[in-house]
Amino acid sequence: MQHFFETHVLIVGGGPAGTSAALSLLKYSNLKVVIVEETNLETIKIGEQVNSSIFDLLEYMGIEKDNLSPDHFIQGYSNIAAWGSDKMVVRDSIFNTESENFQLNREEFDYLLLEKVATRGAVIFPRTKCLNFEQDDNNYWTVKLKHATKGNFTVQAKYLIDATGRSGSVGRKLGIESKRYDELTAIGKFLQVKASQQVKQDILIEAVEDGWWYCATLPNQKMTLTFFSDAAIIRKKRLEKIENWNDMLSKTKYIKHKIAPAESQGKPWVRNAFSQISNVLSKNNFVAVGDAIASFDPISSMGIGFAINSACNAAKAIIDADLGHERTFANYQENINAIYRQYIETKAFFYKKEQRWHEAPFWQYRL
Amino acid sequence: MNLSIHPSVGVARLGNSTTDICLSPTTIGGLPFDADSNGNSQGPITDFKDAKGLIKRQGQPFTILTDYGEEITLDSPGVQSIEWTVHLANKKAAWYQYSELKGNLLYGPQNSYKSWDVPFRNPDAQDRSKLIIDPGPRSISGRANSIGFDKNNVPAGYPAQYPPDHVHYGVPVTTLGDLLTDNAGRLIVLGGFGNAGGDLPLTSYGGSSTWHDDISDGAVYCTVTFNDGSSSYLTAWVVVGSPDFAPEIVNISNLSDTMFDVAIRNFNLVPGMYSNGYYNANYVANFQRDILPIINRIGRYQWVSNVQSMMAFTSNIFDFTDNSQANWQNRQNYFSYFRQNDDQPPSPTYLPQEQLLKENGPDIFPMMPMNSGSNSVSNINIMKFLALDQTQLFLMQQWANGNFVNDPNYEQYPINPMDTASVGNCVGLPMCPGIEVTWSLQNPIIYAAPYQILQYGNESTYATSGLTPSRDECEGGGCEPGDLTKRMACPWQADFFQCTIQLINFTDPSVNKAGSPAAPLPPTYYAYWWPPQSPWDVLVGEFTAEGQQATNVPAGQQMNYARGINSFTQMVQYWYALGFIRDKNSHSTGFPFFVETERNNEIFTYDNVPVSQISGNTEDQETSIPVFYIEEQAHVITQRSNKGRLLMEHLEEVGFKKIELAAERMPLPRSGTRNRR
Repeated sequence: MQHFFETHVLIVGGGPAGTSAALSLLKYSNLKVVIVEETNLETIKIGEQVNSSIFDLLEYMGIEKDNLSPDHFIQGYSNIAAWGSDKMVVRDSIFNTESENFQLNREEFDYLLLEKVATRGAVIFPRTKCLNFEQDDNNYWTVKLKHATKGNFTVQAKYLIDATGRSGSVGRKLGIESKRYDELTAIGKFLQVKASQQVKQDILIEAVEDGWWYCATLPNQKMTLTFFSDAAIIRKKRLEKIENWNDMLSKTKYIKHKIAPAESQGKPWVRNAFSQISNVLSKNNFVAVGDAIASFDPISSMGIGFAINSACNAAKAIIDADLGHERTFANYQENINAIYRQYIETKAFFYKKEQRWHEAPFWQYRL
Repeated sequence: MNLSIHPSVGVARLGNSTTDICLSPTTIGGLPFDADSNGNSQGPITDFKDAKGLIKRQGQPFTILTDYGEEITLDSPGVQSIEWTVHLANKKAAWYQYSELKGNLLYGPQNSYKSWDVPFRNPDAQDRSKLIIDPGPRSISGRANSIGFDKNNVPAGYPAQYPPDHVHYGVPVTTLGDLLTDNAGRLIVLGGFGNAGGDLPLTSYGGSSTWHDDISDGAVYCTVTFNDGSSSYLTAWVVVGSPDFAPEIVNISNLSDTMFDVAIRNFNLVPGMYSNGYYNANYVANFQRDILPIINRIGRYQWVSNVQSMMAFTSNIFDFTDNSQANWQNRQNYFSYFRQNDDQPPSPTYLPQEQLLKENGPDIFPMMPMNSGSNSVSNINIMKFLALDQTQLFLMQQWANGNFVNDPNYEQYPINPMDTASVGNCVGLPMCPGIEVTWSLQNPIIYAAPYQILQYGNESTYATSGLTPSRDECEGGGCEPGDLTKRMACPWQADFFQCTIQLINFTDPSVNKAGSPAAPLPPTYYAYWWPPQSPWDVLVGEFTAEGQQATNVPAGQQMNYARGINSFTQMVQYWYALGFIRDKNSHSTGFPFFVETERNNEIFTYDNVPVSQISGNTEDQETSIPVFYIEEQAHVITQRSNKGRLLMEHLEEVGFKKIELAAERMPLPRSGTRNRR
């Protein structure tokens, strides 16, 4: 028996970008949608800040405010930073003009979107990897897939969406162009706060000579602690070694006190956090969404909002193209390019606020 | 009519199955036997683990034989009853910390524990006798009966002792095992379940204070009563060891070799070979009996370790069976690669066991056996590399000199084959401390006769005053239950986890380790401890597609045996997940094919970690390193709620049902595509 499956749109990646694209497609067209997701959905995700415009986007995808519960948005988070001086100040006044901010509970939020996608009839394959992509003369995609236990199967689709996050692994396999602006890298650990301890729910940012620290409290007595720096600095200082990591941590002024009631195990993990924009126009019937088309410095808090926004726009481009409209993908890409130009300016503006180490390579590169 | 129990020293092995058991092999390098719940043999073992993936306990059957080799059971004419009593104990927590060869009185009284001030385990205990696990004796008779060494059936009035019911790490020990009688009234001794627990973290191969495990040893007594009213009283000993994960691979110098060597040199076992303190240079060895097993064992280490030099050394480069003068040079050259023994204690100018390599001008080759000696760890009583025992070396010498015959129909040495088989499947060398027992078994003072343990005291003295916590049986007087295993790591898993390989300095005979913290002094050579018991490099033997989904490794790839068990604590909990190494070509002659089987792959998570994750350089992401680990440990910190798993399962069910429907509806066309536009 051959495992073969036909659909209109194949989305690779089941995070907020992929599920948002699916929800838009399902709401505004009759196109059939399949999502493949490489993980078992159990990897922990770091929460992220969003502003109130997210509610409009959710409404556009058919998720009314009634569907949302306090589980999805954690309120009462204060958001403070030592950035530009060694004084802690409320971060909103530095970075944001928006008055209302919410901390997203990624676990609950991601599941909400996945469940909505499933109930609206899309097929989702977790624990499934893409082995290879082929496009025929009619621009149809044949994608070979491998499930962790069920083995290989094939999906054929008219449209292919890359929603694989910063790695942009579909686009990379297809050989599309991208431009990278920096080598920002995150190195971090998850921490467990001892059961007896109470920790204030907040986000703390502290700039240091080699980059900046980000510490956020998560649900269930967990915390995430991340150091953002350039890949070259992390490599040179061997920060993946626990003794070097601890040494770097001990030199912070605020962060080290914040994490004192928590403990962690193992070596730090390392993830990419670079800023990058891709151009999908070299392939037909292909589009990337979220971090896969444009990724942002986490200091900007643009990731989630952009992921959903770009996914809605990409879905619109596909729906319109399927109805016979032209230039819909080109318009999508131009829109992304415009957002990115604006972001690059704003980012420079953020980093210029920190002048204490203007000779240090990390900051010098960003001034 | 004289009767005796065989084996004289039995060996049972731990297992954590609560439902299934097996029986100890009856030959050296033989497979265990499947058994029903009464211990009746059901033929060679099929699986070492039960349906749940838990290891079967390996029981040791004890048999009564006449002088003529006839077995006496309840079915024998004239036998009225057979009553067995066994007293198991575990004295580990009361003994000294394992300090390599310190305390070994074969090195003289100046090497005593006291001279070296070796600290006790649990040094702060008020009453050291309370540290012993002593359930007291248990008796059993008749057919198909059983009794446990648990708290519920301690003999009335016996001062039994069990460790604490609650432990911070691991699982508390509540029993040392069970006794069974089979359908003919034979005794089967079953050891513990592999439980071990304590309150302090494990930090060293010797274990930690506060810990107990359910390893044990002790005396076996038997009274056979005949219909005429006469009776015979017989004794033996039993040792409980950890599982033998590669039962068909035999240690080059096993515990039978040790007991044989002791018996030859101290108990006049074969006067023609050794008497009055000297080996007989005219003794005629038999290649089949004395030499070939050593060469074969060296050759089989390759299936559990990477010692290519030993492979090369055992390939048939000349006719080993040829005793002619023409072959003299070949034999002498071969023998010259075998390391000689250090003296006891070593004399500073003659230290053959500190020599790694045989040098011949610029040529070098590791001396044989290429294995760690009994102390390549610390700087006192150094014994870096392995040498065969004295009697093995003597017989090799006879062979090299041409004093041998090659006769497969040889006469056995005067030891019952059941007595050699049980201990022959245990480690004999090196002893640091070892796997089942340690160097105290090299000391003639603990034996009553060849292969027979001398007992100190008796059940009535034990019932009155309990077992002694600190008496050293190597000073004389015999052994109490618990004495043979008390020097071993506590818990055994600590040593098992940490001691399979060793980096050994080979340039300075007076130093193993230097620096702070102490580390093997460079340059070092990569050596093994006892890979037949604790394998290290094994071929993955999963030959089905479904199975390989779980191993994540193709069949035939050599992998680290304990992959995925990454700490002492995990070893304490997951020792049973390790595979068994089996010969998959055992019914054909000539070509053994040993692969790993029955590993509990589902416990381990497999991942490929890109080098970039460590280097931070994204250019490194095309090369990845396989990583195995037990997910539960990280569960608290990195895993999401159960909700994610349930959602995943639901989505997969729905998705694959749709695939099946789609596939049934329409097979993939010949062209391989459905595209018609």
